[in-house]
Amino acid sequence: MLMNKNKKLIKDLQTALTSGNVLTTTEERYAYAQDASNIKRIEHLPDAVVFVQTKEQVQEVVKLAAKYKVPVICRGAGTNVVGACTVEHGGIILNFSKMNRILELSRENMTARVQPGVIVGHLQQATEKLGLFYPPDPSNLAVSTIGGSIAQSSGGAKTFKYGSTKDYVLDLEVVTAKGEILRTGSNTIKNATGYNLSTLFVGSEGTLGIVTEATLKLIPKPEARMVLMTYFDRIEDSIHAVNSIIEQNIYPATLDFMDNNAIKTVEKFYPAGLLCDKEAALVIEIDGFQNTIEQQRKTIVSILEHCGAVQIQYSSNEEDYNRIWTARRSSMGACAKLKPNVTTDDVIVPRKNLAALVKGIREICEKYDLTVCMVGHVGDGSVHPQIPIDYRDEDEYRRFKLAKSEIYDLTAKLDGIISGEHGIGSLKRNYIHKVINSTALDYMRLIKKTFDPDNILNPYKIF
Amino acid sequence: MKKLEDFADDINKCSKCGLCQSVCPVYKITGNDCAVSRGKFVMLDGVLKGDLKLNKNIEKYLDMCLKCGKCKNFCPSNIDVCEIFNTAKYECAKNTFHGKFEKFLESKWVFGSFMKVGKKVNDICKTLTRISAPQVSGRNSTLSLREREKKISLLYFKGCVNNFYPKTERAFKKICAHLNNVEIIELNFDCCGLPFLSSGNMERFEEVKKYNLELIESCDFDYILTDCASCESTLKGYPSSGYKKSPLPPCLELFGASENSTFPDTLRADALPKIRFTKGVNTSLVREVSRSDGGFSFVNAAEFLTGQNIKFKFKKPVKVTFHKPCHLENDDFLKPLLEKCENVEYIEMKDYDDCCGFAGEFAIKNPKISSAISKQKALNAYETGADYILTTCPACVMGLHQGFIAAGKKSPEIMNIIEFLALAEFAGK
Repeated sequence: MLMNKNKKLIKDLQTALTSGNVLTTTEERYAYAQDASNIKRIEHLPDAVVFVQTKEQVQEVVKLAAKYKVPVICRGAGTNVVGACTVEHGGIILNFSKMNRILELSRENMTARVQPGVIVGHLQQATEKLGLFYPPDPSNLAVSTIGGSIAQSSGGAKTFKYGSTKDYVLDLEVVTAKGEILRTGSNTIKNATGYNLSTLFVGSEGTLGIVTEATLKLIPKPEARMVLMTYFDRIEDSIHAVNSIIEQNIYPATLDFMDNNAIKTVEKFYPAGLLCDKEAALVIEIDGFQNTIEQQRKTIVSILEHCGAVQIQYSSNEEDYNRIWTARRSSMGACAKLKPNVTTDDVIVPRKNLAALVKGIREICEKYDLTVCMVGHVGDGSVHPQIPIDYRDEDEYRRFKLAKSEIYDLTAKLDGIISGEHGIGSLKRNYIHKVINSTALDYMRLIKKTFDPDNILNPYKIF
Repeated sequence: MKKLEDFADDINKCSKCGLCQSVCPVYKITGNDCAVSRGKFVMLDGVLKGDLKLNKNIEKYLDMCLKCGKCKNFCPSNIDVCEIFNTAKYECAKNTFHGKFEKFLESKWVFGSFMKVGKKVNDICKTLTRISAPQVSGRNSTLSLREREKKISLLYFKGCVNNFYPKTERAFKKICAHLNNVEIIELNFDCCGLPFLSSGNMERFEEVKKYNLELIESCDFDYILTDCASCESTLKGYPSSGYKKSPLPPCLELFGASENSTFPDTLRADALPKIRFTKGVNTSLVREVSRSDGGFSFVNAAEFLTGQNIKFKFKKPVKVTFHKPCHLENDDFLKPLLEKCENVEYIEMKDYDDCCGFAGEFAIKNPKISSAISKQKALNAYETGADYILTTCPACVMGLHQGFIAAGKKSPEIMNIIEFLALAEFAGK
């Protein structure tokens, strides 16, 4: 009986999308049961993996899913790290990798209208050609898609100054669980007309509807940029320095930091002359008009010196700029060399509690005998504790899970939230109650029920 | 011979970050996660965990790989992607009917005879055309030691294409006829083995590897010379697939290492290779050391000519562009070499190092994907308005032709850079 239903579903999908766009072999479904969260063991497979190119096709797929009561799980590049597109109850993987056209770039309106499969990095390049700028820059922007950014409410290093994906979404075209088309906003910079549904869908991880088109806000591209790097003996000093910079009315695009372990690990695998005996390193990017850069730099350098920073370097050309950034960006790759599997997280607290969070995470990891390399965005107060582990070591895995839970407790205690820019997916849903109160959770469930009464849209993710 | 299980650690190392999508030419066309390294690793991991069987569904995706190495060079976890896929392919192919049939076609008996016929035809043509070649010596060189010390001796690994259609070979010899410090050694090599490697025919690959290595070790030379980037890259991979591998001694580290960033002066005629002139040491002994380490020094024809005392004069101004084959480790020779050419303007094409999409068997097994990749390549080349598209691999020449057919554009001349140089008039520096 069950087999029959499945066969019928696949046949209907093939009729709707042509068989070339429907993958059905066990092996293909297995490959699509995994994403960048690198789940330890694949236990559930999707029933089919489909590629779509138009909103009509998305509607067809959703209607079929509703008919057969099977889940629909949207997927862009599959690069989220929280298991947002992993499979737990079968269903259809709806792949947007071929629905990837930039439909319109308007210099005058300063907007971009794009399909969900557009790669973030490609959009940035295209807008920069027009002298415009799409700031959200998740670290995997070379592959990750706009659809995924919207689903996970992605941020990036520049969030401190420029905000995250949610601040750039003006309007979304959404296919609902019934297969209707819904528009959330308008192609205008301001909109006070009714509930703001755009922000509801941003970060909803495909549980409320399926985005098939997005209109995004763009801003003028800053004329010049410069990056500075420096080191501190104490984590508190680095955070104090950041506060002092902001007090001087300087608004850096990025205020990133690396802890001692991250510095040492990067230096070990990608030697670049980093100072391995320092507790913290700061990477500060400033931008704006060319003639303001030098003044910003001078002010920042004097503040840094005052706060006890050593070896202050800054970029004088594009090559230096990339060299300094490479050191910060290689941390994940370097960590991957310590143990076969590297895990990351995105806890965030008010900046005043950041030092306590960093130290607390280190203590927790020491307690559970785990290595941790911390990088993060000081401006936002967010930390990425990267913990390299070997999944095959059961005991280590157990200790890792315990440490995670304690890290979330600590985050909650420090007035923070357990995800700043990655989302909740399936990996963190057991912890959401630690930071979201039960009334809020109940209303979230009601919203989910209103939009998706049959629970077919990425079911059981988030909560 | 390694088994898939031997790579369990490497497969486990894939963090599934998915960043390989950004460099994979096949993913760019298909958008299919199964076609990119991450997806294949998920499947192979499933095989090792016992969730999946290594069957034709996985083989299909193993075949959907250009072996361009872009993801390998880029992988944050440093996984040797190609070696793992070749091993998996070997395990797939050893049990299937088409795998066995392919092995039959590639056997020494069939493939070898085919090559022999090609060689015969080529030899007949040779006697008919009579090119003025430089001193070419066989295994037993008759040159005295004294004579030989003044010369750079190049062991020419011609590759299969030259056996059939020796355009590049003739061009190279034509140019070398103007050099008086070159000795070319030609031996009866078998195929480099790349086609066997990618079709999972490890036995045949080991056979040609052994045969070719024995030939290489039987003679005295300074450099192994190739005019095909794929042959060279495969030959360089010989030691790692079973032979002891260790870094070359510093004096021999000319082209053996991949980190060469600048064109070494050592190949200039006035600074002959140190290996020949290490004072008081018998040169062949020095090479003996390098050989026991499993390392040889390589030079490709274009690199070699860059270091020679020769200029290329073109009568009329021509515009050229260059396609970098994926298997070409380094193209530092390009600009210095083109500077030696009079009347030649070089225009770099967009994404000049993107794959041409051909990759031999890949084009046969995935014609649509192959043609789509080639088409983009051809359009990028076409944009430059160049009269000649130059490259250093015969398969890329075919890929570029395929691309122009797919794009429906009139193709400029597409050739190996050596053939282009042979069109010029030669003069000393």
